[in-house]
Amino acid sequence: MKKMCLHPMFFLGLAIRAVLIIGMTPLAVSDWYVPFLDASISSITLDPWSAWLAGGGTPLAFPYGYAMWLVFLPLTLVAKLVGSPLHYGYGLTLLAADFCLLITLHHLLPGRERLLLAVYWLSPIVVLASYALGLNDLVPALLLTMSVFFMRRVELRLAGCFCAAAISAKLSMVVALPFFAIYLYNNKALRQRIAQLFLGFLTCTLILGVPFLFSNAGLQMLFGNPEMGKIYRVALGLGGNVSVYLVPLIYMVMLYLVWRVRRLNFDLFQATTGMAFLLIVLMTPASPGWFVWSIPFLVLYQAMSGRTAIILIGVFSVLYVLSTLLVTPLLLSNGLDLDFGRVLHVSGQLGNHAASLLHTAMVAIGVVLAIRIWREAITRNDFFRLSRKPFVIGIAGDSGSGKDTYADSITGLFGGHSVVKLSGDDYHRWDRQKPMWQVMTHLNPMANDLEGFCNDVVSLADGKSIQSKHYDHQTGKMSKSFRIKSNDFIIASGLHALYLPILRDCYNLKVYLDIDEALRRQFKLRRDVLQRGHAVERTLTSFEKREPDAERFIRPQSNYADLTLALQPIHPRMLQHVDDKNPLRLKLVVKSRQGFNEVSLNRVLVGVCGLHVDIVLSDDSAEVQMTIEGETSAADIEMAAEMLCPRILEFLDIPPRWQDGMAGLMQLITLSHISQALTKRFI
Amino acid sequence: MKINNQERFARLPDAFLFDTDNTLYPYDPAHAAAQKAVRDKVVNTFSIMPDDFDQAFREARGQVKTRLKHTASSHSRLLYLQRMLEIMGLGSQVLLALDFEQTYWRTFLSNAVLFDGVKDLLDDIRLLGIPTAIVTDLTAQIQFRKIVYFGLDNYFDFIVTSEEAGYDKPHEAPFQIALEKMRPKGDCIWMIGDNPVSDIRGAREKINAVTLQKTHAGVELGTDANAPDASFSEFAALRKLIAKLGFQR
Repeated sequence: MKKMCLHPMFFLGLAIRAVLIIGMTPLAVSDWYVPFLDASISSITLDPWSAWLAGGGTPLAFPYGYAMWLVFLPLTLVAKLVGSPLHYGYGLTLLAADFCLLITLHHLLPGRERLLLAVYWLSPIVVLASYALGLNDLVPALLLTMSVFFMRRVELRLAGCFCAAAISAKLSMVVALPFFAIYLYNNKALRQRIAQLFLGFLTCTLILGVPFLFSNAGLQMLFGNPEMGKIYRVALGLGGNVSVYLVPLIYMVMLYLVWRVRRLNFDLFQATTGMAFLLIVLMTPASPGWFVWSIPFLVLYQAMSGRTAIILIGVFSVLYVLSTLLVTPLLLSNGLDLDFGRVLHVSGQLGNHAASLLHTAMVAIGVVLAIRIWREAITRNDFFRLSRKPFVIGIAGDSGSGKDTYADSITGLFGGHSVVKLSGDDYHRWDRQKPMWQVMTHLNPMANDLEGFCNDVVSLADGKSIQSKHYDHQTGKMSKSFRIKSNDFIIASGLHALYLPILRDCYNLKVYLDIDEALRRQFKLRRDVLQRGHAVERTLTSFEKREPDAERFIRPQSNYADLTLALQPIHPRMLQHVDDKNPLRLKLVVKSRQGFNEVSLNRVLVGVCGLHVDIVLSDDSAEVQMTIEGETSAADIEMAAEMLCPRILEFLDIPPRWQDGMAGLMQLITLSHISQALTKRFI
Repeated sequence: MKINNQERFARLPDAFLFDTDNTLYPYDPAHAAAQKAVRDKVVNTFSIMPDDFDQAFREARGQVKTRLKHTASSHSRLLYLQRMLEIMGLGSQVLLALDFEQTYWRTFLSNAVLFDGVKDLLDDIRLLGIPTAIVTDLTAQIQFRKIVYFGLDNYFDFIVTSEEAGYDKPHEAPFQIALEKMRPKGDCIWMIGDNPVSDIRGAREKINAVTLQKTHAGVELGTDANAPDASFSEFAALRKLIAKLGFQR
């Protein structure tokens, strides 16, 4: 920040502002705002609007809520106490809000000091609207940007507070509220926290909004404000007395488009909100202050885009200044006015014509900007492109290989709200008591409704809901069918999840769990006896009975997997002496056929997690095998994921449930594969 | 870029030596966050007051530093934390000491951010074909981890830690070992570091290096015997100087 505040551009912007605060006395300030503030500090009251109207003041003077009044109060009071003209207090408040907005944008765009100074601090739109015309739109723009900032930091209570404050400062800010709601609702990780936003919003509304409702004069000034009617000015007459109002129409279409983006991340949220603001202000030409609302969003867009965007917005700003100056004379402090229309001999009808032409050019550039934002910031957005379709993971492995545990650990990362799980167990053809199991094991594909499983995976991958049953391992019976909705991540696990070619084609990532056989038997014995209530003898017998089918139907599926995860004891003999004194220590063998990013993974596993890693390339270089040993913690795994696949972190739950040890390692390796598989969507 | 001895910058060097902590990244914010994380963890684990932690840690650190003087181990967080637990009357508590140490370094790394332009500078040097080495205090394990974390392992040809040299800078051992490893073609060596005594005075007195001090908030510019040949706050400025000398070459 120090770097930014010591930059020559900062001083230039500050000097321009100081000159305008001292040298100009805009009509709106001298006739409305300052007299209103003066009256409200002269007689101590909590309802300055009633006092103002009772004193014969114009209803146009201050059609804003408590937030706006409270923001301007302190410095106006200071100006009064020190005996300086009150419009200095007003101007300095705007300057303070302006600086705070610069700082907020700096927090949103760290390291972009020069860009911020060039496109925000020296923005002709901000300078002209705020300091030459005296319009106070900077205050609601600041409050809204702070709300956006806290939204980004997932501090939703504060985001709600500032959003309510922005609306209190200027009711028109209410147009942003549906975008906030859509963002939070359509982002499932954030949806879990939407109550926090409402709590903050309601608290602030209670403090700033409810008292305002008791001020009849305030309400009269607010709703009697002719600014409110400007949104109806641009209309298409349909004959008779019926018209289509373009601003509400565009707004509603924008809301629909944003809704259709489906899952939004922060960048998409700010881009869509900014685009909506831009289109709304373009259609309301008589409100030069409204353009200030779109500036923070345009700054964020310029930071994301490039030189062309900066040039376009530069031209847009210049056209704004020219078209505004042609129709709006500036009032200097010495009482003289500066009418550019008169100076350029384009006053009257000619002036209007020139201003309209300039405005047309400005709207044209504005529309181009809106199209560019849609194209670059939305449809080219990584998150947008990656989240168009559900991501489908297929997990196969023998019984007891840890499919459910693994699926749960992946679900813990993305959050239960974003994942739908489909288990192959729910597609066993018969309940456990049925006689067919005497001649067939569960591992036989014929004993499972693989066609139904496949149809359901296809439907879920297509975004459709399915009707499914659940196999209860305690009772050995299928439940009645129930509806399962598709979701952002589909995890299809089962003994035969990779068996059918068409199933394999459905998956974005195919995983096979190839656990060490002795270890598998130990895990399965523990699970079947302790969790599922099976007899020990029966479980032991089933190992032998199932072995031929496992060899024939299950293990060959590993040949089709993109990723094979094999959990093994560090030494085979360890299994014989496992007890409390000799806990089992495991290693993970990872085989990948996906053009695995094993070099980066090796770096973070060794350098960050402190693990031992061996990498072996197969003879034909088609497969990479990594053997990983050592202890690692969930925090290390999280740090490693941030380094290894940062792009995917936006898809994770808030906060994601990272795990310690081998489960955490499996999470990390799976995430890196998901990241790579998602990247294919760019190709 | 402030150049104090213009005549020492007539040409590009034959080798670059870099300090790490507070030279390639700002040390204070990372250390403050890490220390806070450990303090919070200790306070929560033992239900003690933060001041008690600070006092015990300060005492432990003082004792370790006094005992080990200017060696790599004198900076060991693990030893500080082990001694702190002992001072608190808990014995060595090996697992807790390790846990707290890992908390420290994990938080430290996740809060450490390279200064702007470091990788660009190292790329420039790589393209000029001049060898580079890190000469740093502290133990090899954590310094290696930092280098990997920052993704700098492919940029530097060599690294010398005080654990390897047996002495912290400004002792001549780390500097000499670096030169032995690098075998520079000539005797013009540039040392870039933040500490006016360890890096600047040490490198000039022990290996007659051209010294460049990286300055930023909290770094005191060396004066008199500790005065560097040049100082800079932004790596972009150093890149410009190197580009200028490279062009002349």
